[in-house]
Amino acid sequence: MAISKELLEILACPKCKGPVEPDENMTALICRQCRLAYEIREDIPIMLIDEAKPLD
Amino acid sequence: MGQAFQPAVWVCPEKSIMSRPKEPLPAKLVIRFLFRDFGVQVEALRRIEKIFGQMDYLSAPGSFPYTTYYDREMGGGIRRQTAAYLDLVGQVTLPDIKLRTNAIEEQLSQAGSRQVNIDPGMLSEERFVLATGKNFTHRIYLRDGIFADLTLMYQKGAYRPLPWTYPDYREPEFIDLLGVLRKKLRFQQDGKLPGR
Repeated sequence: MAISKELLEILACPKCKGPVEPDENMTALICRQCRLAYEIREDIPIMLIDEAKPLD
Repeated sequence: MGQAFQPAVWVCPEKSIMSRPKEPLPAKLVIRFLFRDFGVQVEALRRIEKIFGQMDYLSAPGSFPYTTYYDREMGGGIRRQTAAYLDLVGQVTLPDIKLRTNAIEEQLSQAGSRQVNIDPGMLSEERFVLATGKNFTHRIYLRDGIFADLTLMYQKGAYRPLPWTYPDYREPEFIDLLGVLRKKLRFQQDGKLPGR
């Protein structure tokens, strides 16, 4: 079961506590402030700072 | 006098089907917060992380329109935030968790009024249970003045409310989040995170 877009939109960045937004492929949640991408693996957002990938 | 009772099935004592009690699997800690001042909320999150470890989910702050019960204590414009924590917890620890979150509420109080309301709950594959200090007909006493409130039951592919479930625990977004957390919980109970 894929995650709903609405759910993805209410999650927050664990680092800055600010908003995150899904990328266009719904494969990650992006925090523009922290420049981090939190991957979605097997329909589970991995909202761990250590596992996040820098955007640059 | 009637005939002696003749059971239809004889059970061999050595092969009794009596269950052997055992500890359930650890659960996922999910905490919901109510607050007005975001600075106080950030401090509450920091103190909770210090005790229970890092969060692995945090919702954006949202509105809380269901009741004005907390307005008298915290003022108007109450907001709600939900967090889940990476480290799984033993289900037996629910009263300890509640007592610790009560202590944080008290530490962050001002002039005797709470500035943040902290509601810890445990998510297992079967159910979501909140901890509360208030007795009521559907709540089971645990210990140290803490009761368990069976808030949601997992049936037919989703967590489902009960007649006494608070309205904010019936929100579709919250139920969806618990569904995702349940998937993660199953990975974690196998000692791993979802693979790349």
